[in-house]
Amino acid sequence: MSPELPTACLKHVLLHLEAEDVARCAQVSKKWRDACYVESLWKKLCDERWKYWKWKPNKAAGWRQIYLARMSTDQWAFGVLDSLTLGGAHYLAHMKKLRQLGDNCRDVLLWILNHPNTATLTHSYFAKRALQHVRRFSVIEKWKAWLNGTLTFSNLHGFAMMVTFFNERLDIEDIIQEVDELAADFLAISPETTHETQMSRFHRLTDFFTRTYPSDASVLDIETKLMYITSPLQETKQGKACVLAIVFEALAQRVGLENVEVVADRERKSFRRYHYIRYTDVESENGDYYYIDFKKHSETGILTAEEFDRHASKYYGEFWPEYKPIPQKTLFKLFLHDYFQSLTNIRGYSDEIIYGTAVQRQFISHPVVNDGDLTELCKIMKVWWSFVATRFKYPEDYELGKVALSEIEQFVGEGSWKEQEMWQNLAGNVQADIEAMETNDVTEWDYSGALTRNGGESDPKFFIGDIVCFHKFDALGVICRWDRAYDANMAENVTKFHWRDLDSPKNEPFYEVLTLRGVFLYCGEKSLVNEPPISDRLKKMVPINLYGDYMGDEDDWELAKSLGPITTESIGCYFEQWDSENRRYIMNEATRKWFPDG
Amino acid sequence: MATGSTSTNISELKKIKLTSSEGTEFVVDKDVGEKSILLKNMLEDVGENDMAIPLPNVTGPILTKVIEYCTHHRDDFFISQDDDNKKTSDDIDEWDSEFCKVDQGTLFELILAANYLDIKPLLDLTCKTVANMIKGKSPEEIRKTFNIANDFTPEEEIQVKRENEWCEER
Repeated sequence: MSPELPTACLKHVLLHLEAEDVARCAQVSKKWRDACYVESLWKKLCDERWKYWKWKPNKAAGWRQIYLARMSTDQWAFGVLDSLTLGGAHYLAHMKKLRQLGDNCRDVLLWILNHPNTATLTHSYFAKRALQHVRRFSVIEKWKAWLNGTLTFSNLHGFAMMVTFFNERLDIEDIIQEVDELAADFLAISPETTHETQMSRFHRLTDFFTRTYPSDASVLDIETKLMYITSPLQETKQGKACVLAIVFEALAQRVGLENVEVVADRERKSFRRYHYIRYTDVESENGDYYYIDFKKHSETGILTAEEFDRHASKYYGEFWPEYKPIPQKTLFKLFLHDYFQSLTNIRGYSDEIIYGTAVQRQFISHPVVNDGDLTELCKIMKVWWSFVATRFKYPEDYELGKVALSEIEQFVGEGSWKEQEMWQNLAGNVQADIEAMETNDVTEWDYSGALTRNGGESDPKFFIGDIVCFHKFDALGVICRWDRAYDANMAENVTKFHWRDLDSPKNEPFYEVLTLRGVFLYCGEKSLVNEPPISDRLKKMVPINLYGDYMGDEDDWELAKSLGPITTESIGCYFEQWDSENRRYIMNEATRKWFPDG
Repeated sequence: MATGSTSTNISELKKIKLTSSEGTEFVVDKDVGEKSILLKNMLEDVGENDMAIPLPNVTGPILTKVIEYCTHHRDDFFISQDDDNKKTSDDIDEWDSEFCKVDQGTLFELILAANYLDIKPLLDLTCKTVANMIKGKSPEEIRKTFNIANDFTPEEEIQVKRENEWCEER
């Protein structure tokens, strides 16, 4: 007969249980119930599970009720996520639903990712994708706030936001945190002394910074911390200098050092090069200038204005006497410009995106826009983004696309553009896309053509989940569904791909193939060849594909590898798992329903 | 654990004396004793002293166990457990789980002693052990495990069940 668990013990034990177990404990006895309903316990459970929850808790309700309310929100989000995982048709509607949660969605999704047992492979993959979209959504909100003049932020913040906006890889908070940590490190090793001059402080900060990010550190070293924000830019080494300059500026701000600015020479408005830190020593009589050139900073340290001019002329072959602080607007514009430029250089992008990019480049270099204000810039961003969004079937940006459409029309209407016709075409395309999207949104996939595999005139050669290769293009895909013969309806629904190019007889089986880049192609059997099980090419394709499609961190890589060679998000609509042994995908429930024997 | 000669080689290993609730005297190395934050703070306050520290809340057998634990972990660096992994209760190492194979009464007393002496790792270990006994069990099974009487009135029981039925949903 053991003694009863003392209440004092119970209090400690409950702290080690999850909410579900606590709820069971509450039903044991009166004493246990009282111990389980303690507010502080539920506050702890809430804090653990929802770290970034933004909606204000209704404290009057009590933490236990808050936990329960949030949990039902979670379940709702899981439901939406399940629908996302199972079917492609209502993708848009589901993404909209997830958006209603806003930032809180992040918390729910992070939780799913951290608890892989509660989610299937595709489930957590979708969580990851959805997370990225939600992040981008919050960035759009911030842009809007900025547009209305209600938000101000530093170069660094704006820069990070810009990058987030485009490639979804970076959380602004991450980089702000990075700077805060740097500042804390700096203050820890050399605490503030009241009698020191700003100049000596500047020296110490520079020493510290160059130790943390020495110029001989490989780009990769820095990339893991900061550099990854510049990788859309092609010339990473110069990009490194620019990022370091911006980070230094932010760091100086954090530790209370004034008059530190990112500067560039007046003439060359290129984003990547020629960015320096200028420090104005207001305590000296003449207000002397000092520079740091981050391209060579560990060799040169702090330079006087004269030394710097000499140095710059040596490295860059010219002598520029004047350097100006770069306002954030200009910096963003330069960044944008280079971003577009590098985009056009990426192989594998379709004509549309390159065309759109070219249009935008022309647009931002137009004098009206160049001398315009931030409003203009934001408009450009929106227009360009919506263009990509609608053309590239990011249906979740559909609303934004609509807004952008009216913007485009407005520009077209003004008639001051030489490219008027081009814009009209563009607007027409976007309109068509939006209309198409609206129709698609309500159309259910038509599976009525589905037959069983055996006993027909010509049995399909490939099975659902097989990795195939287009014999005319060097590209991989996975079979998602098939028809006994060409089906005009399907061709209409699946893709605008020029299937004629593939010269297959229409009376042979046709397959819907999901390609590496996430596009569905509808093509005949003759255009496909079986990929040998462990071909060298297949092995090679995996990392190439990851590089092309996957912009995440190392965990993403692991996840992507486990997802098999086709890492586009649509894979989850059809398959639940990658069978690495047999190198094929295993169907999910929904697909199996339609194609019971593959 | 015997009472022995103390203060012979102070410079090498300082000893401290503890008295359990029955009045039994224990002599332990200072570094072992200082795993207890309570003792550590006490020693800092009192300074060098040969006086035995009375621990009226801890019985001899329990103190023996506590000393056994602290001695085994004397070289561990007890990190403050504020980070995220404090919740996982599967990560108990072999020695620790052997150590916790005691009857429930002893285990509960160990929790109280660890709490009183302020030995966070021991408190976590013992609480995790008890938590593991609870995990996944129904209320009735929990009652059986810990020999607890169901003292709810039927109405109360219906209500508490209703309030907590969500935990069975998934």
